Amino acid sequence: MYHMYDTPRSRREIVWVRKHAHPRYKDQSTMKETFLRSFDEYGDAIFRFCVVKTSDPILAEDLTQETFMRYWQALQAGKEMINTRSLLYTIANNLVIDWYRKAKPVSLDARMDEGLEPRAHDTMYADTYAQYQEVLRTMDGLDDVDKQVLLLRHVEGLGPKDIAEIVGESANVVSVRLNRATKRLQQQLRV
Amino acid sequence: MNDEQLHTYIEKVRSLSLSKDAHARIRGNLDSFAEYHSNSDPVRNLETGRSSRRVLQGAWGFHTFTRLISTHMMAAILIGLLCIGGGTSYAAEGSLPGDLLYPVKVNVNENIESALAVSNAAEARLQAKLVEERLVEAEELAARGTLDATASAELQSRIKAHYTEASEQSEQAKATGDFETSATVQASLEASLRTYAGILAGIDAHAEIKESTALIGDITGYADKAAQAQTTATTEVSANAKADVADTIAYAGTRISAVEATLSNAHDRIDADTYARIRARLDLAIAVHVKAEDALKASLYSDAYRDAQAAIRAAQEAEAMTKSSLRLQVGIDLTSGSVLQTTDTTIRSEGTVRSTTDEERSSTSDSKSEEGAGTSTTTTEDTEVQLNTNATVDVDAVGTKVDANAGANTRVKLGL
Repeated sequence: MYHMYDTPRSRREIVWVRKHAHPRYKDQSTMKETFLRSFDEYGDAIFRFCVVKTSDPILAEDLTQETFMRYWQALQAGKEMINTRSLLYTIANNLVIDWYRKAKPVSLDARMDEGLEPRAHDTMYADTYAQYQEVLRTMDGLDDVDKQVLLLRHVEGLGPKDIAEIVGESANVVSVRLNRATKRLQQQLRV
Repeated sequence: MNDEQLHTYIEKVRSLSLSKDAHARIRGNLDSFAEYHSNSDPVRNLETGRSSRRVLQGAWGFHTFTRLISTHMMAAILIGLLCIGGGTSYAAEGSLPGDLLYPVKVNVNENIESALAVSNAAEARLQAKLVEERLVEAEELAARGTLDATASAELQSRIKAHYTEASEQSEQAKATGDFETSATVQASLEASLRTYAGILAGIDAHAEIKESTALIGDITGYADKAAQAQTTATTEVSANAKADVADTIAYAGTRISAVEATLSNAHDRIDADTYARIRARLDLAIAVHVKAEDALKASLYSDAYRDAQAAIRAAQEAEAMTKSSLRLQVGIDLTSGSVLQTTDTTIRSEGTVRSTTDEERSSTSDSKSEEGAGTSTTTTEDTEVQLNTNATVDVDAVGTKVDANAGANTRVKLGL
């Protein structure tokens, strides 16, 4: 929606704004473009992360959207974004944790209060959903921590240091976990 | 290490991605989210950390206001204002004569309702409902001890207007062959009027300001008129269709079950004594209703019609008593030291039985002799006797009778 102050009004004002504006975000529209590009770039990765952590593709879509909304708010609050990707993972991780902590049976009312549209499973194409489920089944025997580190390491290609930052552990702990999780996955795949 | 398998697994997981649809949907949502949650002043003066544009704007004005609240906030405010607007008319619903919002209630809300009532029948029922509404207001004011001359006069004129309108509309309904509406409207009007006349008289007896005498007189007068209207309707319908009687009986049935629901909901909040009285009145309504059904089966339409009306009256009385005792208890709790001192004060509604019983009896006996049905003779007389059992005073004498008792007996009974 158009906001009357998105465009400077007078010549004098234009000059003033150019002179004093924050160098990175000269105006809102560029900032929004950047934000939406970050969704195009990392949306899938965040979604995968959420699917793997929740085993619920529909919930994962919501969490993905929420993650990016929080990210936008952080941008608006004027935080300096050094590593967009790992910030997104961190937000998503916190959201998932919050979700687990919250009352397990998520009531429809509560979801509508949060502004999430109620969506039935049939809004997601049946074959897409089936495909998600099939992939999820291959990970059935693994615990959540294993799934998470495996995903971040092998699928997303993050290094132990980045993973450590996201999951809030030391790089050492992450390396050990990663090693064990890989072994367990291999065992399972062989069966 | 089985790299092949691990690789396949990784590929599979990598294939997990947002579907095109989901991607487009979320992107759209994020786009509008970003739009609405834009920091309206992203350009900040880095040195002072203060808004740059405000400096340029100078004084605070509407522009500052629009800049400080984002569009979605504006929307929320508008919705809020709309809600408040609707809230006024909602809040007015509970207002009483003399209240600030009372004109809104009677001039706006009720006119809208009236405009929505398209048929004569609907309008007649609505007007009957509004008569009752005015009676409730009178009762509430009286219970608070604030029924002064002004409020009393206003209620008198409004009750007159509603009653006249209700009668006219039900006459018109009758003219188009709708006997059921006419009968039910008049029957419930009569019952409401009589019940509240009794209640008001009961309150008036203990009141310091006695401004309701004229009002009670009016109410009793209308009750008599309504009774008269029913007797004429009764004789007219005997020539008319079975369907009208059946409809009236059906209406009585729905009234009874509605009142039954109201009463059972209110059970815990009414003292046992009053509850028993109301229950008895409702049981009477049920009994008379059954008789009406029997009479209909026996093709005694006149009797059936009359009994159905009696059932409606009894049900209506039970309802009015239930609501009234709920209100008065609450009212008493809220306004301690008002005219009603204790919660066990119950109100005797004298003369809940119609004043036209004599006429009716004669007409009943006429029809009985015509029909020659011996069985129905006993049943209808039973009904009359039951109806009369508690009629300790003549209707016309209600006001004076209660007044006379007032000094000696502080207990007013919601009589059955």
